[in-house]
Amino acid sequence: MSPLAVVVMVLVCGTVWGGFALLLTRAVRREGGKRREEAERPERRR
Amino acid sequence: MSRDGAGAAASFFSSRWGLVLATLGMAVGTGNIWRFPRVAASNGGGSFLVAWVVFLVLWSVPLMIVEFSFGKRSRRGTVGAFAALAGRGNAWMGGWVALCALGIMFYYSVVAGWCLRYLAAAVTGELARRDPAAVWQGFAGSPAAVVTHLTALGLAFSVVWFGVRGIERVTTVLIPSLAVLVIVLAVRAVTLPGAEAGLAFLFTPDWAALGQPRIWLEALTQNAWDTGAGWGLILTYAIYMRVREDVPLNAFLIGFGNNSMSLLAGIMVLCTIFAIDPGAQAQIVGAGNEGLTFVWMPQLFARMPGGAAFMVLFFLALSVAALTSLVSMLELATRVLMDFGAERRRALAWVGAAGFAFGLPSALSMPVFQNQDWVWGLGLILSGLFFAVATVIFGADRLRREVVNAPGVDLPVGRWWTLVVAVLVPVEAVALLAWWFWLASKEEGWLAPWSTFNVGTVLVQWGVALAALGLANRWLARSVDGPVGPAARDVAPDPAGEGAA
Repeated sequence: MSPLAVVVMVLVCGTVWGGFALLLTRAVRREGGKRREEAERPERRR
Repeated sequence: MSRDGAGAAASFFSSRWGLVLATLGMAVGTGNIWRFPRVAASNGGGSFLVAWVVFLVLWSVPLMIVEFSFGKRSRRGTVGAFAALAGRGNAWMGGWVALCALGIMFYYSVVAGWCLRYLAAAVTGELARRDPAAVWQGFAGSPAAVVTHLTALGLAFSVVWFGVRGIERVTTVLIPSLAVLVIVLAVRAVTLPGAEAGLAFLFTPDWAALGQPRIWLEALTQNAWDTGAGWGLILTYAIYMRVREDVPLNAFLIGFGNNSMSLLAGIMVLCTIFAIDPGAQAQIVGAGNEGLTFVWMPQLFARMPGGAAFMVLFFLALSVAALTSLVSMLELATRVLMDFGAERRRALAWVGAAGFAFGLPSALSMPVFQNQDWVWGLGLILSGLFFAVATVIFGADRLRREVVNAPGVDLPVGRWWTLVVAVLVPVEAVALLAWWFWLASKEEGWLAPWSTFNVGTVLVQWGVALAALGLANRWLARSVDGPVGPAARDVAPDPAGEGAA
């Protein structure tokens, strides 16, 4: 495999898989945050 | 109690993950596994991939955001959503989107049936014992294909029967399993001796090719087909998303998730080809979708150590991908009928019966199948264009402010999205259609209406559909207009008390 092909592989796979992993991480964090927020809400009311 | 008999709470996806997995199930279909590797390999490999990533952001994701917004805002199927957002006079555009998806559903269940047949043949060892080419020739277009068409339709029907929660339950199991299957197959392919040549073939760029419009248009086409953006399927699932559910992050997640699967499939298929039979790569890649999948892949697996087991996994992955996409197509048509007042299960019965009847010609005749694939596959570009036009009519920036970036958004989008949807997507769609028609017009008899692949057959079938929709527009708009109808009551307040829009 030529160095150029390796660069393109890293670039494409990095963008697509890396992008997906980053987005997934963000979604997981946001969901966790929302759950915590909802769990705290009744306590505040009390 | 909702009319699907499953309770009011059953009318929403229970969580973000339920929605994301169902939508990924819709997006990841046979196009990812059998079309992407072939198109990438025959269009310059690395340079095609660069253009493909660009269009993920400049076509697929922006249109997915539009679809999510239409479904979330209107809480109606394609016809009702277009009438609600673009005005009653444009209900026909939603009708086109539904008709196009329905046209694809008719032959897609035939494809799903082929996958099931090959899964059975792989499990029983038939594919190892017999010549796969002979198996394919004896099966495609035969009455046996009608049986598998009915089986596939029946399986998808049984999922949609239980409404959105049925879809959620099934996709929550099947989509992670599909991801595992594709990863296992890709890892196996990459570790085969000689697989490096497949990676080199897929990723070596030909920068000069980026100067050719064909590469860009093929990359756009592949994105349009394999992400499902602009089909109306995401809009349909978005009807069942919770009010405080995010739009842009989900759209990005699904777009990148879908293309991640395509990339894995490309690596899997090309590494297998180059490791097992490098001399035949041009012949294999040029064999078309069906030839590559149903004739060549079984031959390659048969010559691979432990290939029988991997062949089963391959056709299992293909069957799962096809069935979860078929489920979304059935749901789209069912939802449109529900908006006209039909009860879910009655609507589904009508859609299932029509799916079987109108799928028969494609099951029994390969030229009919290829013709329908050509005509309605191209129609999807028009569907994408209609979504962009409807967004412009509603106000792209207004949609961005009121729906896309609504309170609770996890990844707000900037004005770039408005520009892409209002300007770039229409330009891309028109350029793509013009290019295709120009290419097809160079063929002899390009206007003959009865040819399998030409401009004439597209114009005649589109013309009939558009004329019928134009004539029926007033009735379409009236039928889905007004206060929330009995069918729309299925979309009841969600369990979190967030309520429908």
